[in-house]
Amino acid sequence: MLAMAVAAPFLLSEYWIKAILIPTIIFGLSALGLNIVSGYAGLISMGQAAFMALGAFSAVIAYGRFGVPVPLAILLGGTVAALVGVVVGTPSLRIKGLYLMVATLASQFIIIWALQRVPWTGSGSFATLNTPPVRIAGFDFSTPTAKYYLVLVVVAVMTLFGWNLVRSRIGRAWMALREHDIAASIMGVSMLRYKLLAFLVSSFYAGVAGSLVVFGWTGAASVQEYELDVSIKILGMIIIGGLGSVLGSFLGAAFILLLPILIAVAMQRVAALTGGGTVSVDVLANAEHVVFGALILFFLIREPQGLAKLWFGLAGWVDRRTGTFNATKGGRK
Amino acid sequence: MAAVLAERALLEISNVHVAFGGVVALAGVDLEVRRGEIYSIIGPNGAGKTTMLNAISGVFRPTQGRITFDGHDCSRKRTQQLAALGIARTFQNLALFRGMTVEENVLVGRHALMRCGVIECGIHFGRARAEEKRHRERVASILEFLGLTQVAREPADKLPYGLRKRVELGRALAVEPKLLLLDEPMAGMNHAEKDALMKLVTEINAAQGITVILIEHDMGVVMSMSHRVAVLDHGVKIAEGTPGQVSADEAVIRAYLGSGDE
Amino acid sequence: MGELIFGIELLITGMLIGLMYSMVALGFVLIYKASSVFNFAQGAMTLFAALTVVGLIPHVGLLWALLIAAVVMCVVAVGAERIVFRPLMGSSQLTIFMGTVGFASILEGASQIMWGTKPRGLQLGIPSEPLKLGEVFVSKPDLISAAIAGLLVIAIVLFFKRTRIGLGLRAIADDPAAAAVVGIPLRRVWAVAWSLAGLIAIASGVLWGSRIGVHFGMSLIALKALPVLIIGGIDSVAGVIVAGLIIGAAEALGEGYIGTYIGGGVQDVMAYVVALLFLMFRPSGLFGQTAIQRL
Repeated sequence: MLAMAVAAPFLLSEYWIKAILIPTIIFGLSALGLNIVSGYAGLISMGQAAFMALGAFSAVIAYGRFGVPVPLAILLGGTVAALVGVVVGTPSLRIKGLYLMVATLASQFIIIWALQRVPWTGSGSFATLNTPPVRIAGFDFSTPTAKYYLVLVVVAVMTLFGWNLVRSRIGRAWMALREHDIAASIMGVSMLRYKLLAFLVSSFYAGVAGSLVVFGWTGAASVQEYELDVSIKILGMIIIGGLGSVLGSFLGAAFILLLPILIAVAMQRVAALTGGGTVSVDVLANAEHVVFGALILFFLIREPQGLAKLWFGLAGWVDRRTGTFNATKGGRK
Repeated sequence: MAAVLAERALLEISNVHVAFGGVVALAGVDLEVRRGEIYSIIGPNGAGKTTMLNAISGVFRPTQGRITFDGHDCSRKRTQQLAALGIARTFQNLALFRGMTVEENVLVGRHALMRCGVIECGIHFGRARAEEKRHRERVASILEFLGLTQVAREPADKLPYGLRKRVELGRALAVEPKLLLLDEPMAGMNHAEKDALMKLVTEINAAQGITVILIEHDMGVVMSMSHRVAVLDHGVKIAEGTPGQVSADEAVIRAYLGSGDE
Repeated sequence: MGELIFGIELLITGMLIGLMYSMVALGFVLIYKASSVFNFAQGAMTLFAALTVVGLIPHVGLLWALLIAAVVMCVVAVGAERIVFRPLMGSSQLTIFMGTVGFASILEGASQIMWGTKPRGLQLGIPSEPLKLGEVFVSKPDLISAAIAGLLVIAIVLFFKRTRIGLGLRAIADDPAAAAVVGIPLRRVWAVAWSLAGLIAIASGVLWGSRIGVHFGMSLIALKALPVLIIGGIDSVAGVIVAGLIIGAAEALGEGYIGTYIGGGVQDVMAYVVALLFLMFRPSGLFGQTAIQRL
């Protein structure tokens, strides 16, 4: 799969890279972060987009205003988001469910509100900061292909890290807390440490994803791209992709980002067939809402393990067909 | 000092009270569990047996009294610190991690014995890799001992009841405990399953030297396995001694006959 | 003196609005009591209801619009309970909550496909000149809306305390299995609770709609009822009313006194700030008798 990702720029048009591929892996990374806190540790969070915003603004201010090198600016974006994430996660030590949901929702609103009022961010509900041309060690990252590779390297490294993490004692501690927190603490898992750690790692991932939006995709940090609806979209990505699945985070992101295109194509086809003319943008946007909601419900009810399960099922079927079943079965799950 | 400690009981419980709101579950219980014994706690329903296990394993704090384990004052420790001291337990109504495989469940028991932090675990190289491998090997041998090797990769909640009880036992053993608390491990099992489990527990106690506190309703099991038995009734210890002494005790007989419908 | 009157006016306006938050919050409380579902879609239901009423008014007039919307909301609410939430019964609370997020998205999309995305005004024919009480001016529409909201809140309290269905709801909230054993008709009680939540959505939608117009932002207004729940406690009706008043007052005073220094918009987050403070320092809410929900 990595080989496919590396070869993508040679196979796809610039439009696909810029409009689909880059956002897919960036949001996939953010979704992976949310999956760590919600899918693995079982703690609801409605503020993932706000953490992305924190990362985006921190990174662009660090690079644009203070000339911090891009790799460090990305790291800084993640760190700022992670620190705020720990503060937001603090109530999770004593509360769950509804209460935690409201705490994270409140953080989403408060963070975005605050970003609109910090003088550095340009202020106002459309607060936007553009990044200067992105240069790392003299090399210029202005073409979509160069940006794509920048994003790909960061995302690949962090995905590998996350994948190792969730299969380690730490990932098991998170899952144990999710399944039965009292039994987990009797086995020696500290609720305090691991719940906060889940929020920390999760918001770090969001922050890095946010800085990648600036350096590798849109070239700007703007507040209105990180409102509540984006947090809900990321939540939808992990439900549809698969709760508690690294691969699912990316499958879900791809699916959700392709959805508007699929719906537009489908509805234009239907409209053309029935002679109804063109479909308005408003209707398309709302049809997307309806389909998004219906998909969430479908996956929750029918396939709680999401696209990842279907993917592994398909892979298994292909393997059996091609007779390589035994070869892959030995690999790590 | 070490010599003195060795002679002292492994677990000393003195004058422990536990109350929930106005309801008194334990009203000043003293127990002493010696190293290497199988110590059973019996009593009618509502006598406070599970509350006692919860107090020992740190789920509840005693409202009064002292619990000393291996020289440490447990009533001052946090729940998650007790595993590292060597206390492990199973639950009356299974408390497995349902969405995890059997192997993962048991691996959680190794948590306090593993050291790697976030960065090491994420990079998974060198020490972290070696540590993971070592603990997985130990878990594999525990699973083999319990006859769970075949189902190691199965989700824990898909197993039949008897096997799930074994997974819980395996998870507790993975802690490498000095003291193992078993809360009605035989409940809901048939004769053959009970026999097999009794053998395992006896072996854990005899061969591995793990001290066991057992709560069990099946008197046949209790009387044949235990070195000593304590009887609780309404939050008070009414008798203690060898199985023979306890079953002849007047107060015990009265407690059981008098509260048959509780 | 003028300073004091300004403060009193803010306080009164805030508390009137606070009552309207309490009413929205009751929609959450009802469903939570009946089926232990935290219904994120209550905001979307409010938007859906308001759009339906506004869409129908030009054709049939206000009264019929309200009646038809009532039927529609009952159908939607009961349908959602049947089709969406019953299949998820027994799943984790996290899963069910996510289900309500999905349901909210469907409702938001569907209502705007049907009625369009253009913000609309909603006139209830309440005279808008303010009422003068001594030196203090109070907005008449706010006063009337708050009165209606207050009456609804009282009606629901009475419903809980006095009717068989209401008592059934309380029994179910305590212990669903036991309630089923003693013969409380779970399904009927659920249907009633969800329908009532639908009706509350209409009242919220119409009253808020007449104040701020009917548009997408309405579901965000409804979310502001969540801080009310945190502060008041999700199963205390009295708590919800007091919390609504507190939130409303905090918003109005915050906007009036702090807003001028930092460029306004304080009322958008004040409720959440207050809720976060409560969560950090007093997580069991004002009337902290209830245990924090553990699962």
